[in-house]
Amino acid sequence: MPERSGRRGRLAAAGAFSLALIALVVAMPAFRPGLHQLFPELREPIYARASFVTLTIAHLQLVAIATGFAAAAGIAIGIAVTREAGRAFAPLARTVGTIGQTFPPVAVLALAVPLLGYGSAPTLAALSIYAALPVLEATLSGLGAVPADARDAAKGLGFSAWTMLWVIELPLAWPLMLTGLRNATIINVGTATIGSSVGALSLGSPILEGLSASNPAFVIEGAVVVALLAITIDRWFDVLEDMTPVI
Amino acid sequence: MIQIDHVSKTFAGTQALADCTLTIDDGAFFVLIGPSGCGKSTLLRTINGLIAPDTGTIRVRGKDIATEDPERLRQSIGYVIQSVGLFPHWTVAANIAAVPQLMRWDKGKIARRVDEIVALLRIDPALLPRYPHQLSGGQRQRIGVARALAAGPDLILMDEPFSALDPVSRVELQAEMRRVHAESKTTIVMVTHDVGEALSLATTLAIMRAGRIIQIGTPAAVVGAPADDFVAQFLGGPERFLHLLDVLSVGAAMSAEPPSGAMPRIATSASLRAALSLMMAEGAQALAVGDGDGASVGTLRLDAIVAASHA
Repeated sequence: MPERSGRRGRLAAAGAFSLALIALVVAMPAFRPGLHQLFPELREPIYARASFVTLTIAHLQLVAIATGFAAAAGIAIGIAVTREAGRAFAPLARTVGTIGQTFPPVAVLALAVPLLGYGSAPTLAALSIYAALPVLEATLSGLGAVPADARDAAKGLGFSAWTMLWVIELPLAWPLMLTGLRNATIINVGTATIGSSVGALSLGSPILEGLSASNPAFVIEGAVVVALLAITIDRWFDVLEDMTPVI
Repeated sequence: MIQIDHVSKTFAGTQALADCTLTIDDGAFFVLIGPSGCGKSTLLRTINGLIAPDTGTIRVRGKDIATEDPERLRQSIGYVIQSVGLFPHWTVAANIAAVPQLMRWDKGKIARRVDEIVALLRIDPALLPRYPHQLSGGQRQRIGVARALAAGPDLILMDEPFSALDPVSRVELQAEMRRVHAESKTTIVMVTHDVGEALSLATTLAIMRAGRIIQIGTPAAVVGAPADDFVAQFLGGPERFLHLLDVLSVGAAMSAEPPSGAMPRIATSASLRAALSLMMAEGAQALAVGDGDGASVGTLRLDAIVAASHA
């Protein structure tokens, strides 16, 4: 049964990374002696303004909310421009999507601050807009890959447009859409760190503090946790994709 | 069943249908035939409202379809297309049950209906839990036909349903449709560009060219008296009569004269093609015609075959 052992392996990997992440975040203070030896010149080798548990939870919140908005917007726009009434806007959506992704997220953040002030609001806005693009692209590709003959048959057999969308198009587009969501989430895990430059609490806080105060230990701590978080979430998406039937 | 009245349709400056008028009777096996691009598929797709005509009206079961709910209308009409279009993420059973499901039949009724259809179309029940990509082309179209028949429609539209199949599957499914039509008296409207298929299945034939209906009639009438050179050429030129050998049965051409003992035997239901072939094989000018029980019911002579195509 190669399939089942593959699934078990994926679950095991996701679980192991999750445990490693929790252990690292909770036990961060225990690394003080080791880091002290590594960076003897530093007075304080562990970022202490907020605990890493707090930072990680705040970071996850930013990612979850922004990805939620991004998914809702990307999927809704993707569906809208593939309906008969919205088809005229499909090229525009694609172009905006492609150009949007060439924009550095820092620039979006800089533009959002004057409008939304400092804190998590501009960060959420920047992350949502930025992550909506891969979701939009994936939704367009997924819906575009639905076989034309299945759509013709469904329409001819009397499916309404909504029923066709729910029971034929979205289920067939879902594997590609899930890949888009995965990309969006992983991008957000990394990009959320820059939110700390405009005052949002995230795992970017120790990194930025470390950079400005010449404290490489802070940078390493933040970066390692972000990396582990990204890998862990990626592994869980792997489990999710594996559970999605591919026809 | 269907009245198409002065229907025209233009796509981006090209006239696809030009003033088409025809009536399709209840229980007909109506075949639309013509060269590619003649508008036959367009005409078919106006019947279930997939294409709205620019002018003219279409009545199905006496009602103008422009005034009907399009989804309800389509659910009441079977629809089979050349590329089949099974839903790839649904099992065969779920595909067959698609329209009953849309019509919200209860589960027990759907399950019973699926069993009936599977038996009617001789589908191997082992295929039911499989997915479309695990089937052969012939099996897929058989499921496509089953899906179209599932809700028991009194009208089925078929758009070149067998054109993409291998010859063996094609002949099998043609025979299946002939049998389903004979048993159920369902009205069938089929589009094809295959003259042999059209003549062998149709009770009525309509020949189209450049968006116009050129001629309507029974296969024998159209072959015997083509409206113009185009029709005669399209049906096979001087050889078009040979198609009638497939269409006409021994029963239609035999005489009641008792056969002599030495004649080779053939069944009343056999085609004249089979009869002629047997005559050629046996070097015989006449055959003894037997019924299902083996009793002789008459004689078929070579000249009767020739005469039959002018009946």
